[in-house]
Amino acid sequence: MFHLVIRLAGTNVEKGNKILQDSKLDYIEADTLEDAANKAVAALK
Amino acid sequence: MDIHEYQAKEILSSFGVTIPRGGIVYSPETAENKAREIGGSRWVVKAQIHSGARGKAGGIIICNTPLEVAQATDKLLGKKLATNQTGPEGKIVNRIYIEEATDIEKELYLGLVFDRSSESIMVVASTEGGMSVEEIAKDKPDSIIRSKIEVAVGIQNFQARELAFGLGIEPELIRRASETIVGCAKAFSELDATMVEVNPLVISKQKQILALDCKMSFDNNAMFRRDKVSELRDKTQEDEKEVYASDRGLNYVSLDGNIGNIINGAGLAMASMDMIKLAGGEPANFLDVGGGATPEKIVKAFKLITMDKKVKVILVNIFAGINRCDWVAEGIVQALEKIEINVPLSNKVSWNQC
Repeated sequence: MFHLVIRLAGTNVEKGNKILQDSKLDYIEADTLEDAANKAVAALK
Repeated sequence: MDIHEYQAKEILSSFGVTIPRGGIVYSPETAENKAREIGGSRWVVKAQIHSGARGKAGGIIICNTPLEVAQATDKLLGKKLATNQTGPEGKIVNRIYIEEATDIEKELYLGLVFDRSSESIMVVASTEGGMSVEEIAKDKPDSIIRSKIEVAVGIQNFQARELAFGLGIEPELIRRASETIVGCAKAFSELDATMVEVNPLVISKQKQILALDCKMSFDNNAMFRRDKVSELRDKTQEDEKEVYASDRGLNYVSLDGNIGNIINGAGLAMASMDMIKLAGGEPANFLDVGGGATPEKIVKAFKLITMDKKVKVILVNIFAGINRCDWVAEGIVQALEKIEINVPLSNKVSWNQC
């Protein structure tokens, strides 16, 4: 069991987002590198 | 890539370095016979693991009869040996090297390493053998002598003699000592080594110059052209997850934290680890999936990360240039279907179309 934090940017990002959104995945979305790191650490608590 | 002591000894021996008589065994029964075959009246039983400081950890046992050799082998084989270099979990002992005991008169240190600042191979020697080079540098810095080898021309005989004289070696042994230094330097450059260390290099009571313990490391990037060296790799001595990764073209380093990382590019991976630290977390690994990562590669990356039972959070950070976010996303979805891991909902946020 673990938490998943995903940050995608760049080539084909819209397609990538769509695939993740359409899946049944539960994940924490992040916008930037800093945001991703903060959310990963916050998810531990 | 590291190799075992006995393998390094075989290599150096083929370059003209003298080593004590010895042989490798995998069972106590063969150990007894091997001791008789080697001959003499005292033997050293040495656990073969990829680490120094084995003596202090109990991995080196001196024996006076072939029976004792068998008993010592039995004691060490199959055990995990933890030294101050392996970490507390230790490394498994699968091979034992039996060697005739040497009557030591003097212990010296000889090491060769890449020196990036001078773009040369640096030979480091000291009269204070038997200690680690770090200890020598701390306690007896004046005993250290150095010589730079120009990579394009290789070691010159005068350099080796200069080092031998610098070590205070008696005149009749200078020739053998310089041949030993030249042999180590040739092995270093001809086999794409990154490190050759003979510690101690001893002068025996019988006036022989012997490499008593040897360590060699090689440049991983050159192993494709060094078949004979690369087949010496012993995967049982390496981190299981790192072996899995290198076999699958993933650039992975195992760390101690609980936040797993799947990232493209070494630079972004380093920066992400820094940011995790800054936010008060500890990364569980460094992982660079590289450019053009296919969904299959992402699945493998997930498998790898989830092999580490410490991981509580997985951070996927992709800044796609050559990569494609849709492939990565597909890989994530496939991975979580295939690996069948429950991913709990923590705080799902709405997706931003960035």
